[in-house]
Amino acid sequence: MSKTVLAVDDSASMRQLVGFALKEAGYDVISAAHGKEALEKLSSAKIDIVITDLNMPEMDGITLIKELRSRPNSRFTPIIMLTTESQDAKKLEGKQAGASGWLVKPFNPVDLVDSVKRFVK
Amino acid sequence: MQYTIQMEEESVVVDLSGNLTVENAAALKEVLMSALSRSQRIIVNLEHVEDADLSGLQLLCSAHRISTHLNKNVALAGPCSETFMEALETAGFLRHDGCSLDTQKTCLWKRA
Amino acid sequence: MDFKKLFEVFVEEAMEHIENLEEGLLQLEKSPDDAELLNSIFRAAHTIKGSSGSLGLKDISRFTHIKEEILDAMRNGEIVPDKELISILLEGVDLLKEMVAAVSEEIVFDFNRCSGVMKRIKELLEARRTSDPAYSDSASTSRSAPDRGCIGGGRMTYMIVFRPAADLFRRGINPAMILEDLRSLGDVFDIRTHTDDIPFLSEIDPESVYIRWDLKLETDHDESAIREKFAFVEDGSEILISPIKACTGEIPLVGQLLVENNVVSREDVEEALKEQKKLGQILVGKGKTTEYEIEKILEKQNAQKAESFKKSISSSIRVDLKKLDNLVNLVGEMVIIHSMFQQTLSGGRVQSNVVSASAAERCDAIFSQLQRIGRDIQESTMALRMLSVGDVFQRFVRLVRELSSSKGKNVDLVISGEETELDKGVLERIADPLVHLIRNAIDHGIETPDERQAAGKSARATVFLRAYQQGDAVYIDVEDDGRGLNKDRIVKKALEKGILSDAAGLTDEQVYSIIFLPGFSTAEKVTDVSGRGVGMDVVKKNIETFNGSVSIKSRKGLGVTISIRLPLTLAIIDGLTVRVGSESFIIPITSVVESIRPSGRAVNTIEGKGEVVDVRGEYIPLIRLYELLNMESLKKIPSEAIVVVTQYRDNRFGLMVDDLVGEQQVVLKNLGKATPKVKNIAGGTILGDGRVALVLDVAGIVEMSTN
Repeated sequence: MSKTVLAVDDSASMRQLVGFALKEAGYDVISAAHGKEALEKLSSAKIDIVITDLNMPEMDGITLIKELRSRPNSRFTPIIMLTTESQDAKKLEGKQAGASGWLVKPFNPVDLVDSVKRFVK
Repeated sequence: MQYTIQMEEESVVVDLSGNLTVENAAALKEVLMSALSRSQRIIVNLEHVEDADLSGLQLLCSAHRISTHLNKNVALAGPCSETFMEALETAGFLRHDGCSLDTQKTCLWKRA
Repeated sequence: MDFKKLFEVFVEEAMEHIENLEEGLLQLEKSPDDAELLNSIFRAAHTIKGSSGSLGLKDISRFTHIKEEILDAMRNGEIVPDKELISILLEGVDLLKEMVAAVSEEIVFDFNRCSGVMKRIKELLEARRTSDPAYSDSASTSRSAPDRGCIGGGRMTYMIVFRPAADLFRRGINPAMILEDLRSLGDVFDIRTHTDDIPFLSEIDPESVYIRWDLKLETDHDESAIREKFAFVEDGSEILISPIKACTGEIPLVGQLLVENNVVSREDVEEALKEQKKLGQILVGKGKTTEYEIEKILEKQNAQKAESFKKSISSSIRVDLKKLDNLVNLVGEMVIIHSMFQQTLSGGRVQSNVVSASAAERCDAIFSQLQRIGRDIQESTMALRMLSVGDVFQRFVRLVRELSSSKGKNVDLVISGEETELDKGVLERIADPLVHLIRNAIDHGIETPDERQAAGKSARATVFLRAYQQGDAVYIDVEDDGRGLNKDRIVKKALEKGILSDAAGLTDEQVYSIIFLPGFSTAEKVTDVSGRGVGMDVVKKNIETFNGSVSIKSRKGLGVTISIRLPLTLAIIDGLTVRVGSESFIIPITSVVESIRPSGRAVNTIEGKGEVVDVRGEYIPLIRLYELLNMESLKKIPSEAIVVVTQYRDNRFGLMVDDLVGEQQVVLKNLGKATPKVKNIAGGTILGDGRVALVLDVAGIVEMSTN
């Protein structure tokens, strides 16, 4: 059974890139444009891993991570946050909120797939 | 994870099925506690367990450790699924010696 | 994964970076000292190299690698960017553009077109590096020290200690993931999962992590690659990575360096090594000495070698490699613990990921580790003293063959348990008694072929020589299928010789044990085999000197079994530490039955028997240790003191001491030649507090007190 990735990013092109690479690697991908949408999608599907951007409208990545960790069905779900090299403070905030790992933007699609594979086989 | 607990002669047999993973860890702890309170001898049947992670293995270990302390006996029954055996191997749980509490040499994870 | 579909994204990304690269290089010509600019150019090349590599575009990756190298050298200040360098790099950028375009158009780019530029970049790099003496040194070291950290190639093995942060599951991380990641770097082996910190079921937080892994990783990657795998989990985890094996080669360092730098091939070096002349030949060749002189010296050398070999027989020991490996591993662990300890102590100076729990708590954990390793090392070291009995047993095959033919008997020797191990000290001293027992069996026990056939047995007799371990002792049995001991004849002889005054009421066992008494020999005539003045009493005494014992079983017409029981090792004993006056003594625990504080009325003096103590209705002799050892004691009244009930053979004795200190394992040390042999002292040992305590010899004490 293929695993489901929830990709959260406000940039459509980023969502496309992430979705494309992961579908190629055999994952099912659900996308959301921000944290609020992500939480809605989460309640209707079983998600195996979440990939989220940090700067987003409506609900940002950090709040999303905190929300996810407080819900019973996503307490142990791996969450990879997407940061940029200049966002060290944000990275720390994300880690404290309960992120499992991070990927520095811009990233290579292969690295993305490798990172996801580390968490869900 | 599903389970049944039943008495068979002197032993209480816990049949587990599904995944002994962290999502079910709290439930597994309750099941094992209740089994331990019922009898001197507890058999945990893992035949229908599909997968496990470190949390599940830790709980089985913990049950065995308290049993050595209470002079009770916890044993595993199989055969286990391939996925379960892989999980054991991956987590380095198949071992040659028991822990320091394992004075009776009944460690659950000894290699045959 | 089908990479082709991802090429699109790559092309887009690469084109952007190439543009940055081009612009940057043009700007660099104007401001060659701009470090930030150099950095960004380097990053652009680096990213292209990385992403092309992971997409399997090897040509692009190789080509950008060369460029990256020269940019790196500029960034480090090794070389200064000048017009010539920049123009060759720009030429390279044009080629790179074409290569990337080829990817997007799905056509083949001829990589040979790059070779000219690559060659010139290399040449320029070399020239600049060597022309500037200030940098030539560092440049050459940076190239000849490859990442694997080991000259001459070969993988490195790292010892990795990983105690995952307790909250990993709640961070969405399965700790076993790291083990999987490490497996992707190389071979993971010797995983030890420490489960000792897992709480009891009632106290466990089912979602926390309590274990610690120690493992070894053999890998081509360097330490930073390993550390990178821990990036996501380092917060709150303890991670220790240390190399444990440097590579070794039989080729001398200079040879390795020659090979490494492509001066000669490995085969050349090996060839050259083979041709190396012996020292003598070289000296003769130089006319410094003559063949004859050398010959004489060589003879001397051989004699010395033989002499030292003789010496080495008694003092050296052959060790099973596995045992040694185990010991080496343990010592390795010790080193790890040592550095863990150091890190814990230096607390503040260490990165936060290494020390998480409070230092005191960590020290506790480390000490318990240390204790375990110490115990393991002790056991392993003791195991080094253990040798299998096989070699000694094999000697007897010949002995039995010679004896049986000289006695006109047909005897087979059946050996079993050759792999059973004994302390080297015991093994050395067991051979002589065994020779005697086997001689006895063939001489006395086994009948002639005629007698055997008359008794309905097969003409061929068998002597079994068996070794096996049971509990804390090793047993060696010598069994024959001969006629068995003749109880009546033993009794008759014992009465005749005055060894025995009355045979009434003796059990079979007691009768058989008579043959161990001094001065007893049942052979009607002295034969060359058994009548050598060495009786069974000597055998028994020999065995008892190293805490062994002998027992005998016999079935009439079926044979005799003599069983020797030997302690597993001589050097470590479990002891009960007691105090008499200001001194501590150790009583071997094997002879201790119990310890009691007798009531005032329990101690009486019985005529002819001396002082006795009542132990639940049984009166046993009371030995006041301070009197026996002629020293001062604090307690002279039995009801205030402690009586340690000891067993020697079938009899019990009470040893009166001031106090019990405790039970512990002690290493028995020889008292040395300076001390005369004292009957009641088996040896000495050093206690935990550094003081010396004497180990009492119960047999000696009983003997002394009864005299």
